[in-house]
Amino acid sequence: MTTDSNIRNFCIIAHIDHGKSTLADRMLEFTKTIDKRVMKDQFLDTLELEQERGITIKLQAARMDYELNGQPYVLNLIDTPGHVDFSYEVSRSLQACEGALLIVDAAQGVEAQTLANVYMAIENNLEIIPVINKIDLPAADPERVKNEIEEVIGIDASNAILASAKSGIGIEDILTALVERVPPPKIKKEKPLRALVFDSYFDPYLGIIAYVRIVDGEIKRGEKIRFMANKKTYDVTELGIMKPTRNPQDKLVSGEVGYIAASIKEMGYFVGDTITTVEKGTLEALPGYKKAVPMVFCGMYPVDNDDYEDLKDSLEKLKLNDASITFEPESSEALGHGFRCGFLGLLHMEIIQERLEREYDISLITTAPSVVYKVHTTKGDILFVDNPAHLPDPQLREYIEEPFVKVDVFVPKEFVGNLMDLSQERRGEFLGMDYIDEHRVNLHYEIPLNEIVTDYYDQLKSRSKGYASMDYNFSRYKRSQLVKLDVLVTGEPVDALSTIVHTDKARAVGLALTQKLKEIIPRQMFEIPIQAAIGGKILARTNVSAMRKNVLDKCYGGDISRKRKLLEKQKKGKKRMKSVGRVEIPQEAFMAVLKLSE
Amino acid sequence: MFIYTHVPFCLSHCIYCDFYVQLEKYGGKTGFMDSLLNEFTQRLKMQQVIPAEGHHALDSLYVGGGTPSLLQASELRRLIQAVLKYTELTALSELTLEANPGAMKDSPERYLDIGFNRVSVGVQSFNNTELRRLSRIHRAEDAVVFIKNLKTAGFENISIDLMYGLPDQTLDSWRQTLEQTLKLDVSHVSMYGLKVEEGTPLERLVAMGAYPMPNEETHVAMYFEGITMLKSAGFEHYEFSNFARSGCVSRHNLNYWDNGEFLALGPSAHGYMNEVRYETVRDLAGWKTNPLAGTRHKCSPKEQLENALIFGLRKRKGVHITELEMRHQINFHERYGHILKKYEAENCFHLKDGYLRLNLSAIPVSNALLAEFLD
Repeated sequence: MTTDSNIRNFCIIAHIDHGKSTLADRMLEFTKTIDKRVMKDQFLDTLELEQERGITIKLQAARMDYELNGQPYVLNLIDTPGHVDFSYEVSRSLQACEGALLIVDAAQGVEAQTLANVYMAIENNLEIIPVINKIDLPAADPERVKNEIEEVIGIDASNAILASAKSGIGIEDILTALVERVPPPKIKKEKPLRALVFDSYFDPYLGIIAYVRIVDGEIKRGEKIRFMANKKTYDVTELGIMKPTRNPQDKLVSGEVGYIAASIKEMGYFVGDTITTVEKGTLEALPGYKKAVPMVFCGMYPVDNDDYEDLKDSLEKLKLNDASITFEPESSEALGHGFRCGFLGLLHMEIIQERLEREYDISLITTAPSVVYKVHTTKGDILFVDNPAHLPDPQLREYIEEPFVKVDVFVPKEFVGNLMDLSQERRGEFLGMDYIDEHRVNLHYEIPLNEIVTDYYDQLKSRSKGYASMDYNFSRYKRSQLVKLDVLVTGEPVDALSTIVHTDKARAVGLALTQKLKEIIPRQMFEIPIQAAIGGKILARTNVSAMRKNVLDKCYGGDISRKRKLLEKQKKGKKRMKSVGRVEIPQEAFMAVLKLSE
Repeated sequence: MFIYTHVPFCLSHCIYCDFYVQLEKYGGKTGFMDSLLNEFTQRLKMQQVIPAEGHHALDSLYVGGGTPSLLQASELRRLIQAVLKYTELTALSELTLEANPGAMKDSPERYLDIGFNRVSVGVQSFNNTELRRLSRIHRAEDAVVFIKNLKTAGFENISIDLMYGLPDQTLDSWRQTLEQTLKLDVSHVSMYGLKVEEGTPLERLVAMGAYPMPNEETHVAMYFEGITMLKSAGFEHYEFSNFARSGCVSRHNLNYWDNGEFLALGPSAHGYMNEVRYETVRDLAGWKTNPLAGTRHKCSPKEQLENALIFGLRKRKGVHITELEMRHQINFHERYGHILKKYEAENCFHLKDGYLRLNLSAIPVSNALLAEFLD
């Protein structure tokens, strides 16, 4: 039986690869929440993609039973994503907890993203338990990392737990610390129901399932509930706890973490909402949640126009699981009908793109990501433009503002020069720099978001041999000298290849982009001129020469099946291309502008 | 009835070849014919291709390889006798033996005596440097003598296999090979552009840069040079890579491009019977143990239609549209008209006298065109 003081709600804050998922697995095993035999590595990362990339994207929760000194405890782990794009999602789970495990890699130390999340946890008054993980690595230096935690983050690390999730070291210490150091939730059973939705996902049988932290009161199966922001009411069809799969209960009470299903089939932005009962409910929603604001936009088009409805359905389904996605119909002369989609960041965009292709089996063309430009027209209006093709003509524009972000980069000092060069190239303004310790530096820059979404992160990694990490936050809109760079294929502008660039870089980008497209667009039956232009002025030009040889000379009985396969492969390749006029353009061409440094 | 048998034995392994081949010196020939005949009878039974009563005409028996001329005439006689037990020879029956210069077990007369009326000779080139580079065991002179001997023995229908686009080959050396071919006055010529197959030693040599290959322009120029020279010498260009004197078009090969059925025997042989494309086991011992094992694929009506097009368009004559429509119950223009339209400007396709064919200039890029017909 759960008593008031034996619940501990906690989350894990960690940088990618610092071992969060492995640690969660070990805790689930140790508390026998899941059978070791059926344990698939990294249970919490259920999406195939997440397992592949080794990162957690969607939040999931798990309830563990743990006994200490003869007392039973309930430990609710609320998983958090560890990537720069998902800081809003992290904020939601933090609010549902009283404590956080701060996992820091014993060799790599504190990273930029960790820092941002820890500060968020401190703001939320969470008890933070530092765990130094991977202490059995040869390069582990726990003392240095302890100092780093104290100096950089400013929290006491004297009683940090030394652990190795991989080898199972320190797991029990962590569980004990959770019981002893994380404060129990404030139980207010008598108050009207207030449940915080910190995540949701769509189940084809049960409808939308909301993950909740019951803050006040209690909720029973069959009760009529109301989502306060959405102003919608439903009957609870099922509720329960996650162990870590759904485990139905009769009720959930203040302090507990669980799930609620109420046959919710329509879309809505439930995440962040407060649930209360229809009868004797509260009027005061829980504070602090805000809607996620997409920062990066791109066009998504089905390669095959017949897939448009499928794409729409799939986006709707994905939105049920991930409310931060936005999409609106748009059409392109080159690509036909598709959607303008908004994402939290570049990784978020890539993940959704991959999920659409993999889980929903839709062949997609994704255009290069864009940010939202503020265009001041000569009429005195302000237009928000998230698609370069829609930028008004120069004579209609007074000036353009673009979003800037403040970037924090953590980097070993030997790479500081490289990353300063990079930030300079990406139109960054140097704001300052601090020493984290004698080896590492924190660089502060203000950089146009457009440059970040292009390839800043990839370059940051490659120019620091993978050692640098970064975090960014929107700072402001600022006026910039920007122009629209058009790409013409066989003399016709292809709207989906247009991009907005800084005047000073237009020529270089034009040259690089036409060259890149020449590499990407396969030779066809005819010569294909590729040009880059601003307005009517051609900046760069190249040609894809006509195909010369693509034939199976020898074709005998024995070869027929094999030859057919070869042709099938060519056909399949074609199917993944978009016909723009007579030219078949591969999907990656529309992202070429991101690959100019390669 | 069309029958193909694969005889996998070779004296040495050519660096460009990715067929299933066994070196003769490692044995395996013993009992090979027994196994082949065993497969033949089993397959006839299984496929039910021969009704118990009455004979089918033998359209073609093609003994390919490998180097089937490494089998003795007395052995091959057993095959021909077995085949003729179930089929009937006609004036049009084509019995082809593939042979390599310097790799024939008996005198040519012996093979003629047992019933072969056509020999296909793997010459590849009449330039000794090129032959060495391909690791062929014969020299140009050997091939000349070999073909002269075949003719002396009484073979009237001789085909020469040539290759172009070879390492270090020039347009000039290719012309010399073609000239030598014409001098020998044979009835049929096949010319193939060398394709660097995956996993072959040639692939490694090319990747290492040890074998400079002609560029695409030269490769294509060689192809057209071959066509020009053979045609002006009176050969009919009847398929992408095949040329024949009047009356000497290979019935066997034509059947492949007509998407016709044929029985295939031997290890790693590909056959097509009762709408099933099958391949036997690519291993001599495995095939001997279980000759009917291997992969099978039943062709759907759609695949049959597509195959009729992608292989039929290899013929210079092209594909007869009305016949195709009747056989496959389609409306050609409704279904494929957009493809013809797409490549109108490049003048790739040609419709005349009810036939759709590829224009000559489109052959070097035909994969792109043929792939369009696949759904």
